[in-house]
Amino acid sequence: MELILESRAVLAKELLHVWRARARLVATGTFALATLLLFSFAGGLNDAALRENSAGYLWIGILLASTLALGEGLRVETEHNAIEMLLLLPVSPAAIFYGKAIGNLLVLLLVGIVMLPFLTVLFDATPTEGVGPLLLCLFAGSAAISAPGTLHATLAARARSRDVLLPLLLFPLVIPCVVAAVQATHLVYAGDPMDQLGSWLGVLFAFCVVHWSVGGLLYSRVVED
Amino acid sequence: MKGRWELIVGAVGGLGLLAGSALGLWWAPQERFMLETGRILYVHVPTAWLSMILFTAAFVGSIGWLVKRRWGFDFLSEASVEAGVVLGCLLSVQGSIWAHWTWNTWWAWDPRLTSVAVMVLSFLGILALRSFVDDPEKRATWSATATIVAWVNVPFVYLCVKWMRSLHQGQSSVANIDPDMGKVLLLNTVAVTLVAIYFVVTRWRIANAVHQREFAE
Amino acid sequence: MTLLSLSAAFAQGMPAMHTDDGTSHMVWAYVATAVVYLGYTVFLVVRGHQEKV
Repeated sequence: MELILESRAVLAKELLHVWRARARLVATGTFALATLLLFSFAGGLNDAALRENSAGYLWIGILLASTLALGEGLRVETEHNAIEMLLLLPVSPAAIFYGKAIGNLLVLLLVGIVMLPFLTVLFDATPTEGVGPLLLCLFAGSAAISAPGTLHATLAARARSRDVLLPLLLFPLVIPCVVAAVQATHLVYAGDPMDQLGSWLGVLFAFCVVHWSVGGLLYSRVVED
Repeated sequence: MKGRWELIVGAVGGLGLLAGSALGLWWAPQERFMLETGRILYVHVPTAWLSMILFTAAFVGSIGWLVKRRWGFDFLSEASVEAGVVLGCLLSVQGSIWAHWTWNTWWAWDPRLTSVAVMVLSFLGILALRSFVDDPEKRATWSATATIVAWVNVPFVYLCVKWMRSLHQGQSSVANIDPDMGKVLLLNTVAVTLVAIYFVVTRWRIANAVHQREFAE
Repeated sequence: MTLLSLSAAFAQGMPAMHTDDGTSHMVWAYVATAVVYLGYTVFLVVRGHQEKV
């Protein structure tokens, strides 16, 4: 299918960008770790409270890092009008969206994975339910942030005051996925006696289905001239 | 002022709201559990109803613009988003006052109130987006896109907050609605709908005038 | 969703902590409502004059 082939090509381009700007990726990861440190200071000296809230800190760290990562993904396109070139090739706007969104998903996933050992070290949080479910939560949450994030990052990049506009647009939207991701991650860390993990992952999945489809449908309106 | 039918609609609605509020404050019976604060129903429920209508009107306007590319739809969207933000803020304030009386706290994580607060934030973002884009067509298209995504998101917000808080909340009890209460509620709801029509149509005309001015320049 | 169920949703089962019958809170709530509705109307009228609607 053409959409899959085009998306794969766009994804390859995105990953190449990320690789070439890997110093910036390291900086983004460091930023996320710095937020974890800040949380541990802001949370005070109560170790039990820090451990209890560690899932929340993880996801706020990922969300804050996403504003950097998402913005960066669009910077190159807008600086050199690369999106217009892509559209002329022709590549369908939906393919650009999916390629970019998957690229952003992988970057966010990587940032999350890097944060995990620090979560264990700083907050004494160990995943009771295992690393597998933890990675699944990370993947689902990153996917949920990535789709609306890519759409709105493109919007913001082409408007004025783009740095302010992206968090302003994105953060209210991703509140449900932060809620669900934090609940799911918390259950993985603290234990899930009542088997609620499935429901929260289900919410994340439904959120992803809706926003990945809507994003693909609407992306053409955002990139067209 | 010729042909501005919405002035009459708004005036009727305003008078109705005044009458309904007076009745609600003095005539309607006291609610069993909520005592005097039960009277907040007569302004809170109609405002909530209005917010839902306005957010949905913004959604309809957005779809209309993307599909038909007629400016009237963009004006509808702009008017509804602005009025929706104003009334959403009011809703949050009313809910906060009620929460303070009931639980001595200024915020209650009721799923409905929280969803409204999130929607207000989303729509404020959309208003900001509108002010940061200079080209009218791009402004219309991009705010339409953002509005659609925000509207589609509402069920998720409601669901997530409800699930999250249901682990902590006690059992919900249903307030008994006296038929007299129901009458006042109905009066205010109809009145507020008329006021909403006045708000949206007036704001629509303002958007239209701005648009004419922009294109004349 | 009926009007009644909308209104019934605001009674929640947590123990109430009120110390009075709530009259002053109601006054504030109604005042806030009046201020917002009237204020937005005034804003629209002023803006309408500016744009010569």
